[in-house]
Amino acid sequence: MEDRSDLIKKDAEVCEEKIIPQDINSGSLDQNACDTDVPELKNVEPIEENEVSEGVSADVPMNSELSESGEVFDASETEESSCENADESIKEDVADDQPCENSLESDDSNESSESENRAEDTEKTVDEPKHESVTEYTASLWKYTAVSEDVPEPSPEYYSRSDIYDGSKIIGARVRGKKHKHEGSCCDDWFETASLGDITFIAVADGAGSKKLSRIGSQVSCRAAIGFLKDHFEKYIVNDTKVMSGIALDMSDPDFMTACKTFADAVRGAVNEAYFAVKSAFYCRASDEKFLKYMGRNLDIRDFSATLLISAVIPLGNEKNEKLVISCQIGDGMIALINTSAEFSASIKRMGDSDSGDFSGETDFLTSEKMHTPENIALKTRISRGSSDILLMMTDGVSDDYFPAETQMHRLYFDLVANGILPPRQSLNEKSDELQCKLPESTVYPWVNDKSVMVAANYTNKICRETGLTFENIWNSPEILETAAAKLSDLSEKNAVERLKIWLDNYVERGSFDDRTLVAALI
Amino acid sequence: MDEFVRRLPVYLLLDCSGSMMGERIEAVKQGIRSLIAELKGDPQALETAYISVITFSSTAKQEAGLTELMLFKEPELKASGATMFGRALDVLMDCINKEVRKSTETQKGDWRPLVFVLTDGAPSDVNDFKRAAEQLKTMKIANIIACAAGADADTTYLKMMTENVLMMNSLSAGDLAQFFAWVSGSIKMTSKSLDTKPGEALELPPPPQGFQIVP
Repeated sequence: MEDRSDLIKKDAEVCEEKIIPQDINSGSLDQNACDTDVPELKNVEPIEENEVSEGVSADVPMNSELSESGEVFDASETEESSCENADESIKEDVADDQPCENSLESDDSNESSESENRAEDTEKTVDEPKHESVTEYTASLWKYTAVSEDVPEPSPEYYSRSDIYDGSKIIGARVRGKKHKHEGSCCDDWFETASLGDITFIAVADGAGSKKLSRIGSQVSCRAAIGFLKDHFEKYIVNDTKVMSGIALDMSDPDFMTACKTFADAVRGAVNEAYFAVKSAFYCRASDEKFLKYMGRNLDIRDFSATLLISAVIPLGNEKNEKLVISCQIGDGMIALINTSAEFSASIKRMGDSDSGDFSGETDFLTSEKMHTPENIALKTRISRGSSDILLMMTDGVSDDYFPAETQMHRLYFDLVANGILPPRQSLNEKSDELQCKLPESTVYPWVNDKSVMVAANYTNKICRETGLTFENIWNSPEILETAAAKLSDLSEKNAVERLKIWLDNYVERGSFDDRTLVAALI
Repeated sequence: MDEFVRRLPVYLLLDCSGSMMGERIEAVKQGIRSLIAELKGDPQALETAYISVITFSSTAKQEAGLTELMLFKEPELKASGATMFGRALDVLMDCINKEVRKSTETQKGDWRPLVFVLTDGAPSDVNDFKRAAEQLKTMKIANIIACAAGADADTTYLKMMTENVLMMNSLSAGDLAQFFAWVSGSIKMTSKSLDTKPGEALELPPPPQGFQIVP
């Protein structure tokens, strides 16, 4: 084991050095005439230690429904995230950590009996190989293929940015999925962020994997939505004192409801704007020879299919550090709020529903019929007021690995902390050497782009499995993840956004090979 | 729950009636072996594809339940008897209902199943077949690709169950081998566009030489 950890250390360094230049190349935000303007990049700085808000103030659930324009998020939805559920999910995911000598044919006899005892799962058939042994095997088979030269308007392989706004600190990264790397196709995800005063706007989109121009759809819709929101807030909202003071009023106050309606209208406008941007992106290219040749047929607006997730965060400026968060989610992915000062069971709020079909991957897109109707947008709009301090927005490349959100958003937050991406909650307990010894080694996989580069990552599931801790235990003892993150030693030299990008590019789950985009906002 | 991997269920529905006896059934067995070997070299298939074999002759049965590619054991196939094709479709629907996980609030569903059908004749149980084929088509529980092999195969029946019908003129060992190679290509290609919706055209590799797409 000792020599292996050396290897991790050395190789992780190499990997990071290699990743950086690609990021610089990908930072450009140029392109099409018909795209909406995007606010320029702000100063790039690493995210620093999270300021822990004083006192434990759980969010105020808004139970009343807003008529027509928006729906108030109901915090009770998240209450099922009991530790029992979390515990179960950990137990069931017992996978052997031993490297599997290029053979998966082996039966269960070589598995450690210790972990087996905790992993009793009657539903699982006995001869199922451990998922990790499959992913260890496939790791060497995933190829890296650059995007072909003749692909029109290719999307950069990596894109990441961090922004320090007046009202938030944001890190976001987008990586090309293993499947696209294998096949030489483009990353279809996109995200944008912007601010206006202390208000923060974020948009995330995922182009449909089966549609060859979806990367353009995701890009233009994010830009259009953010451009619209910023403009609309500036012109009609921030100077409207009735609205801006209304959001701080009692939730039963009619002026509060009026204010919420104003925000819901803004979000609806943004979704419409995004839809028109996709339409115009389609018309702009419909007779373009490059595209006709690339597609081998006439273009269809559905070739530009993408999901769209948008959020606006408006700080109330009160002593409880409350914010109004309004979001709208068209298609799959996830928007979640985390309150790191809250009790475990009340700390996660899901801000969207991904209404998918019977089978995986069957979701709706902005361009789908009826998706951009006012009724539908209203249905998918959520408003929340509370003291949550982290907003996570992601495409399904990430959220599918953390499903269902009610129990698994904790795990996502833990993984982010355990890999040094988000700051840990403030801990009252001392870090102990004993804990350090108990924690499992990080898991190492070769980097898809260059198999000689090994990248280490921590997995909360593995930590739970090998220490017997539950999600709630981990929530209540933040020093655990802090210790785990510290063990990924040389990551500490990198800033948070760089760590986010490396983690997104390298964490391994079986059957997870989609593009991954995650934006984390400390609000 | 995170221990569930989203699988791409692949069902092979194989005609094992008397007419398939001898060299033909041996070629089918070899075809399955090559198919598995080929898919084992593809990381995406290894992580997602689960294979099941259903055969039909005088009866229909699932020879191999939906199995992880790495653990798939080739079933013992024998050819004899009639062509209870309708019965086989019932078994298929039954297996899909039992084995394939649909999305729920707490669980990500599997990918939409892929079904490959190979037959060299016409159903002996015509009425059952028509009912089951109709049911399968309206339920849209899978993407189905049917291949009629040899001069005796009747494509009109296959058209009742799916739009994707392929015709191969001979039942030679070489043609059967090509069929299975094409199946493996189709599985790989389908997994590229796993989010294709039911009703939308499936993207399939061009059929091998000597094969025609039945319009």
